[in-house]
Amino acid sequence: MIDYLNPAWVYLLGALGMPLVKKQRAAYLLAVPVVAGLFWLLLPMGNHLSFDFMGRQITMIRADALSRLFGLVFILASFAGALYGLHEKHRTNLWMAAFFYVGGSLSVVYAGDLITLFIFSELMAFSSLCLIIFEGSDKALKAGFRYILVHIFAGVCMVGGIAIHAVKTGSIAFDGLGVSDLGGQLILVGFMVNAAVPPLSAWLSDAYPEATIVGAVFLSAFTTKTAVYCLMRGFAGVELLAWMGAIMTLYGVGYAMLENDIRRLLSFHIISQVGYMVAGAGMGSHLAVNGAGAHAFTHILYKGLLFMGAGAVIHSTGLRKQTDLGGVYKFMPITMTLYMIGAFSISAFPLFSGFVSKSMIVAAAEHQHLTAIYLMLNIASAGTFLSVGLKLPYYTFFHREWRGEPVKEAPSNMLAAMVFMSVLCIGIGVFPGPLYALLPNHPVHFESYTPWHVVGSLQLLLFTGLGFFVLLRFLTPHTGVSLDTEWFYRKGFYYVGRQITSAVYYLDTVMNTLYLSGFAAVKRISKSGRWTDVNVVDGAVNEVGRFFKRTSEDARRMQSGLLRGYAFTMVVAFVLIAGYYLFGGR
Amino acid sequence: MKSDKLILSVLEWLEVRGLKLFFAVLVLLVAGDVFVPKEEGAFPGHTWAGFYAFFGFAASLLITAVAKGLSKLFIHKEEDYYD
Repeated sequence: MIDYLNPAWVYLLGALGMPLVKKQRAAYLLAVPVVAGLFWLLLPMGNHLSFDFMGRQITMIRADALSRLFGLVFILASFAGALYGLHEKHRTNLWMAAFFYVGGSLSVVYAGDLITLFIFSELMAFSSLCLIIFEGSDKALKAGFRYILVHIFAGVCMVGGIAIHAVKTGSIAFDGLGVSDLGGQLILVGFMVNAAVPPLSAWLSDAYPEATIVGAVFLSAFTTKTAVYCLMRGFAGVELLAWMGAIMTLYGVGYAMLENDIRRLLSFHIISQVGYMVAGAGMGSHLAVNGAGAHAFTHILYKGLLFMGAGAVIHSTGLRKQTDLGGVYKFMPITMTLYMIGAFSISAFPLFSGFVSKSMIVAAAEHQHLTAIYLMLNIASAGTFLSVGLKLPYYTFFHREWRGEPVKEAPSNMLAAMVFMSVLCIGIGVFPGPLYALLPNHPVHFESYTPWHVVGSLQLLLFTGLGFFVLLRFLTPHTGVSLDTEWFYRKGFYYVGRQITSAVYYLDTVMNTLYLSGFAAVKRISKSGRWTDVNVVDGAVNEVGRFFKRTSEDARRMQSGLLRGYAFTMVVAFVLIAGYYLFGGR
Repeated sequence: MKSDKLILSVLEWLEVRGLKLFFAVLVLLVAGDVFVPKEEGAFPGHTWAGFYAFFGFAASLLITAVAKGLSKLFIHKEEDYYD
């Protein structure tokens, strides 16, 4: 019985039970992650709940080091998310979506086969859509629509890839898949869309900032990191990923530099940070894969914290753009401090969580002599501190006096959730041992706190800080949008569509002209054609009809009524056709 | 709440002393780097004292220049571009 304690089911049942619990909703929202944590603790290692389904081996639960690592951090993130959203506890639909989303992610992480994985990643896509569109605005609805279209594309790639892979290898087990055949390649594309690898990344920065405040906290944790898990499991060591990951880190950093909306800026830094993990998975060494896992773990916690901080500012002020904000620190000093803990963590300051995880990936690039990737990852580190640690807090919390009515500090439950995350961020940064013990490749020989590494990191970050002050007047945020690959489906298809429409319209006009001028002639011809019609065409039709009638009467007489006979005919025909295709075609 | 008063007083202190403190730390980091033991790694230059200080400063200039340059070139559009 203890073998069936999949933490995912706690969330799925919890979501189903949501409408029944109205009075004790707050306790319920917090109890579900706690029970799931208990399940995580009790679930023994190994494959459980394996059964044969239509000739394929389904494994609903596979508990190993990698799935336990992601399982634990998902449970922690969902607990903090529930705490953060307690003031909105009565929004039953929102919470059902959130818990289905968490349950879907955990099911994917614990899935041992590709079919289970696919089904639950679809559940994730649709429940996360709800977290976006429940914001209620027209903008959110449209962004959600684009979001789900991209994810449906990812799902189609995945299901096609899984089918091809299953036929070619005869297995649907979810282990190392490789990219040697089309099946693996399609599955890889599906995972890469979900991990927001450019040029398939615009869905993330498009949709997340439009989501509900609570929803965005959940979104920041699950979809991309589930995809990172899938890449680590299925495609570790695929060199393309190492390069794409390194490009991603800079891509996210670059767009974040131009961004005005605080949650969109943070969304670009999800892309950037996931780049480190994708690069780690792509490099594929023990250290790199451990680093990717560790970075996913710490990232979920500090990115959740950052989204909570940004959400708290939006909750209190109603504003979301750096150009509108400024001077908020006087009213929200605690939010600011907790946000900065997240910012120091994402920037990988010593004693904060990002330091102990990101350095593994960077060190792995160094060990494998991937100097270009090493440099790209380090430049991105500077860029991360520049926009998340300096620019965003500067223009949000300081910069100038607050211009509006005085605002309130965030509600206490929001602050409590942020304190929870902050404690984890600093705790992991100071004592990385327990996190390293959870990593998939044992033993972990890695020491992040060497004098050179500490001094080097501090130099890199603090001189980036110097750069910030030198560049300050160039960094002023502006209103506007930045072109991204979403242009192709927001504008490009429209242009193509308009070209097609005008071409069709032109053809239509030409045809009309032809018809009209040709019509008189046709009328004359048709008059003389009537005779032909009656005598030739009708005659032919009648004759054809009589032929079939005769043939079918003959055929009726030929029927023996013996099933065996038909079966034999079919088999012979099948063998002939199959034989032709197999041997005749060569 | 007490904690917000504390945070605000720390910020006030930083407003007065922060800049000097910041520069002192920068100088110390580069000066102290001479004594830090190093191993050969990715490429020869990065064992020089103060390499990452230079790297961080240069990286922040580079990122800003490239991002702002591309933005001016074609990436930036008006707020209502997609409407």
